[in-house]
Amino acid sequence: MKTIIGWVVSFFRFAGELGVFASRAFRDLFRRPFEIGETVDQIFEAGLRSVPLIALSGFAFGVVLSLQTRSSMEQFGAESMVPQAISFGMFKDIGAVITSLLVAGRVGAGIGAQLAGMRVTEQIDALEALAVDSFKYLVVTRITACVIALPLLTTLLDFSGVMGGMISEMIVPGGMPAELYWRDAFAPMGWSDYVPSILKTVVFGFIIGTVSCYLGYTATQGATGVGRASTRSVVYSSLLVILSDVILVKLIFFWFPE
Amino acid sequence: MSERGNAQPAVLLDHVSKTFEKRKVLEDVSFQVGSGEAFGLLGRSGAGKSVTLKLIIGLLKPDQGKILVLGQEMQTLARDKLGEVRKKIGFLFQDAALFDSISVYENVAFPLRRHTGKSDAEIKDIVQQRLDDVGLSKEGRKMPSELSGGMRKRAGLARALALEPEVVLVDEPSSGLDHITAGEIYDLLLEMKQKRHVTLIAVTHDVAGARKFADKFAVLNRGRIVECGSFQELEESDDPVVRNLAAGAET
Repeated sequence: MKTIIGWVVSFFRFAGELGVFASRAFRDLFRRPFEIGETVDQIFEAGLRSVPLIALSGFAFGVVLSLQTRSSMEQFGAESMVPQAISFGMFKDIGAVITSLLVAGRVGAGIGAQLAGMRVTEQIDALEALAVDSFKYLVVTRITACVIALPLLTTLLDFSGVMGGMISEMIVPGGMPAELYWRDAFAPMGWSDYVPSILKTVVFGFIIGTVSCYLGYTATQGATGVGRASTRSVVYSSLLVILSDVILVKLIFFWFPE
Repeated sequence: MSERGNAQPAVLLDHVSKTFEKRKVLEDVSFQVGSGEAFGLLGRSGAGKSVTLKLIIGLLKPDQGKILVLGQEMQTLARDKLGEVRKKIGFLFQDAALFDSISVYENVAFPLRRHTGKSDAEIKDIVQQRLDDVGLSKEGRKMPSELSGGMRKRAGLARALALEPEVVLVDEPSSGLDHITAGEIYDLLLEMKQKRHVTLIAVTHDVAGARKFADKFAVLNRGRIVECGSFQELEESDDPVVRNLAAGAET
């Protein structure tokens, strides 16, 4: 019983501290200095360096989705629907979630480990001693980078997925030519299929950035703390992304009815 | 205590106490350091020496008492004002705390880029000068991970001096260093004191080393100042802990 109570207390403490941390980050976003140089560096780190991983993953996912969808569609003689199934699947939801999970793994773990390392080696104290607001310099810049990078990376993964599906369709027996595939993939799509999903990734970016920065920035216990911050950054931000997706999908259906 | 009578002390701690989760780390600590003085805060590991330095620069806030640095009460300053005071303080951390993702040169240039409007050429000259001062003129391109412990300390000192601070705080200058390298660091501190006339506060358990550069000493034991004065006064103290520390310096 005591363990359960302790777990519940720990959970609410974590949630409360994370909420305070997130609100401070949001408030400091609009406070000078804006640390534009560091933000650009972090966008490069979180965004540009994730491009190969995202593009390749999206492509592979598109190929798999195409093969799976085709085998199902063939049973109903609806192979011509494969391009639409892939593009809707990628753009409406799966692309956003996959990108967020990949970014949580690559960028979230990196942020958690880096900030925790800086904390335990007194580099964050050194920043403060050099009259630099470490929260603005390290935390706000990284959260901003995640918020900016994630929609762009999601768009990249979506297109890579559709591209992967196209290549697969061009190769498989009975597949369709590229031109036809491309036209069919995007013909029925409108902005309302793309925009809500992309807006959702802004929230996912904020979650990944905030959780990872919080766990890294508040790390303790030396090298063990660094490892723990890195692991927890991935686990907690992935979990929160998936849970928040449930709520966001509901909201999307409410604001953008079919 | 400062001998400069009426002059305002560069650093003053007035009945300062600090507790971490029920553990009293500092209790009613008071001392002052005059401008241009070199002050050695001595004590065993865990005596509260590093906490004292972090209180002075405002990284921690005292539970009780008052801390004045260059006439400013640190714990009451707004962040902007606190930043202005911190620009006048150099801090050499125990393990140097160099930013490990940038080179030694960039570490020293960092405060100059942040807080001065100097051109790249001017910054280059200043950084080179600071690196020359600490004997690292050829190590600027190296990453902190490529440096030895002594070199890291030197690089940390170069960064601490980048903005020509009025007060320099040094946390355990000899920790993790062999006898010879530690001696070189002490020589650097002495040279810095003589050439730059900065106010120097160093915390250390190495009394013999501190004697090389410090004019005044205070001994911290279990969070309390048990003696404050010249080295001779430490030797003549009634407190056995102080006498033991002073005797250790003689051997």
